[in-house]
Amino acid sequence: MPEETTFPDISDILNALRNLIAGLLEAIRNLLNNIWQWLQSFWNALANALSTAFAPLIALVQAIVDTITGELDLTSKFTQYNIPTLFILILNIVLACIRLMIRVLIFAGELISIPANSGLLNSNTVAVINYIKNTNIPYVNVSFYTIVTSVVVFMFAIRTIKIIRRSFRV
Amino acid sequence: MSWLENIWFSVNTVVQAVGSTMSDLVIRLDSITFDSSSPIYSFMGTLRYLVGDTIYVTLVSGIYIGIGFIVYRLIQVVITSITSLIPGLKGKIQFN
Repeated sequence: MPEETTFPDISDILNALRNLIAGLLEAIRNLLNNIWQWLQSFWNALANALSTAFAPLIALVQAIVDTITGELDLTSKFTQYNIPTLFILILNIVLACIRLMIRVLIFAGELISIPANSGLLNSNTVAVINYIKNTNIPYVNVSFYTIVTSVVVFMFAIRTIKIIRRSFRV
Repeated sequence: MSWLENIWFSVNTVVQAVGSTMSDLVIRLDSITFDSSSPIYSFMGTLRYLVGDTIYVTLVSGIYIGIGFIVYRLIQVVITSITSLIPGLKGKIQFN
């Protein structure tokens, strides 16, 4: 007697197929989730590695930006002068030297009109100098002070004549 | 950042120190005056009292001649420097 072939119920086949597709989809979703998590961990690790490797460069760029934008904490004393100001100060020094030379020349012009002053001398010293100036030597009737003055002027004149003769070969 | 900041602060410190010194130098140069109350007036007056008018005038004349020579030499140096800076004037202005 031939064995009777029994076909499974179509609903069982559909259920099995649905379960199979559901399992397959679940596996695919799990696989995609794993890939997504792996990618996330990879990008996080890459970002950490890059930030660690380029930290000095980032700091340098930040320093340059801070320098350019002037965000450093500088007091007013620290920004009082800059390099162009130094050139202006050099010009001011030159002008101050010229002003000083003009004052010296004016003072030199006034040298001839400065009156005699004994304010810095001791009273005893003044008395001695007045004695030398005013006391005449007997028989000559000239004071010692006048003689010394005349000798000095004479020596100065001789010296001047010598210099002129040497300079101009007269 | 720290090394660049250190360089910047060092340069800025030097610039501030040089600027402050130069500014003080200008003030000190301008503060030198020769009025009748200055010590050099008293010194020259005492010198005139000691040596007398004749020798004093002789000394002052020597000082004037020396200042004249210095000013002449200074003008000579300035004109020589200017003519050396301008090639077209080189050799055309001479001090003998």
